[in-house]
Amino acid sequence: MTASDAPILSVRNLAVVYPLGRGRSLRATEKITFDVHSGEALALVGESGCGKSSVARAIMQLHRNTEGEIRIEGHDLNALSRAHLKALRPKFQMIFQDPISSLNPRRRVREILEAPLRIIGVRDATERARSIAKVLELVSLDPQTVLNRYPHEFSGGQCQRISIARALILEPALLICDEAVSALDVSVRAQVLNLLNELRERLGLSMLFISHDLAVVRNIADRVAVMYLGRIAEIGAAEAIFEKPAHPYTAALLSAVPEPDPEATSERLPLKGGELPSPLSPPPGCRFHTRCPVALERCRQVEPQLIAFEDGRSVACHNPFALRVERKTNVEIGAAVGTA
Amino acid sequence: MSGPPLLSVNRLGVRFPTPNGELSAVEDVSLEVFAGRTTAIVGESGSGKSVLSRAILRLLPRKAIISSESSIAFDGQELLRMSPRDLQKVRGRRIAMVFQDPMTSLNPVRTIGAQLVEGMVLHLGLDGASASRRALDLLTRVGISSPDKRLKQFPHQLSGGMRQRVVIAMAIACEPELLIADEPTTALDVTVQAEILDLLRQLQQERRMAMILITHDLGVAAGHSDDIVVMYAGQIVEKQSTLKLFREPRMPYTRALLGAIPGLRDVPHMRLKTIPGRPPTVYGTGRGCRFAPRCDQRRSRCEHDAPVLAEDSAANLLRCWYPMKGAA
Repeated sequence: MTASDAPILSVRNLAVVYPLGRGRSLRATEKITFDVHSGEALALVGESGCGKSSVARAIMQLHRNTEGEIRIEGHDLNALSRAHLKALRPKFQMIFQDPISSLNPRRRVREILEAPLRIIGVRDATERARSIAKVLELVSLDPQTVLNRYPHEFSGGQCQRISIARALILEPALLICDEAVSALDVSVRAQVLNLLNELRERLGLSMLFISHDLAVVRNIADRVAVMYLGRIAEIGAAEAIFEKPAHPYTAALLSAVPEPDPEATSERLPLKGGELPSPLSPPPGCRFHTRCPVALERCRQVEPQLIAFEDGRSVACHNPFALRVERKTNVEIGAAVGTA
Repeated sequence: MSGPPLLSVNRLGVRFPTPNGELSAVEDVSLEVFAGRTTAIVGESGSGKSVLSRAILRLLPRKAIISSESSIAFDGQELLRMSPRDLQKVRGRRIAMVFQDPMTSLNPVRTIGAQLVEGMVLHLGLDGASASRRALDLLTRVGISSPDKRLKQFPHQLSGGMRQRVVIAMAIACEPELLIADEPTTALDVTVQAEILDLLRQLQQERRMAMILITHDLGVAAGHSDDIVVMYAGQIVEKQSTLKLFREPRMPYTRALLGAIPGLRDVPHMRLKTIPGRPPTVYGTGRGCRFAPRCDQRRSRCEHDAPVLAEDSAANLLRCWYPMKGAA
């Protein structure tokens, strides 16, 4: 990635706000800043309630009560008129967690795939048919057998392929995947992950991949942003973050992932208190300090800002690299399970 | 393994009547569970693992048909032919269960304390005061902060992880000999999941409980079980010690499943091994091995002749005509 590349998606100081009535509001995320470049997959990870899905919905303009800036290929979405936003929509598309409920049960696959084309005004039926055939081939579905059927006739994995096809039919530059493989069984999940990796490579697709599953993220992401209680705790190259997490929360999260290797003796780093504080009354100072095992006095008072490190990552922590994940594993087993 | 098994399931078959004929959910399942050990049951959705666990406690819907040759013996007593009264003495007291969603196993309109005490008064004959004292101890034991306050709270006032701790406290209240945990951490965040799994393991070791851990996550099974039973399409296809199953899986399905899991130490963007097709949703109609249509090792015999569940001298189970050898 060269520095001159303009990002496909650029988010600056995004805050997502949910009004609660009586003048109160919940700020689900704050100060979210990141870029996604062409052909790159950025993963947003974190536990439930950290705000990762709010970010996705804000980018898709599904939730408009936001502050800050969201730019797609340089266009500020908040400044666009409805017509201009509609014209830009084909550039960014989304797939959701539940593949079955995200497809209209009363429409045949042909109608589901045609809808985006009709919306952007493709009137020529043969042209639509050509696009549909092309996109079905991309996701390895046979047009003959799928086009006249309804979503309920397909399995979860196949429905997710149809969702991906619907998202890709307008040839977007950015695909936002919100827990797109979380509901799938292991054998089917592997198929969909392979497909997403393949599409990224073949089409140069950029991806914002939202997931709570770090092993899945390891497989798909080039860069990772770890979120905690509405803030970015750490963002940087996947390699750097997985090898040597700087934020204590990242380290604890990584150490808690159950690994498919009975001989992996990596020590779990326990968190204090265990429970996530309410986003309605976030703790002062660093939001993580109530659970952080290496919190300093300063962490209780001063909120850490994201600071850039030499390896390109940014970390919001007063005491980075204080927690280390020790991984003593049988290399042979690890390799065998990984490449079998 | 010392002594007789605490739980011994033999040739269990469960079918459900549907408008299109009977649907087989579990077939020919045999397995033994010993005190002080954890047996994990892994499988994808629809593999029959939850039906198996519910059959043990006889929690299946009334219309379920249990085949006549089935037997489930707990400490020498046949559960399938036990009177409802006798069953009541086993269920909740000697065998306890933890379900996936803590909210559905807790009564939303009763306090945590009332629900905890109920079982102890019923099964252990404790009076209210001593049951309350014990409830307090139990909540402390499962790692709940300010337990005296929690006893007066309702389930909705607790977080998901906290609720699951309460459910575990209820499950161990009567010191069960067998604990069945059906996807106990699937609804929880990863840091909470790790804490709950550690808690279950500690309790199990402290009390020499037998545990059946049902999960779809091979990572969870790897770190928290002694043996693993792999189920596919309603049948057991392989059972081995956890260590051996990961090192030398013998059934091609197990091997393929292990290859399909992304790992934290994998190369990024690595192509995962996939299993073509998908698990069958209706099975037991064809001849041959149920995995054959998706198996890359299949030969002609697999398509015509159903493999039987074979047991070797080390009590490993395997259902495959052409098991694989060597490391995965």
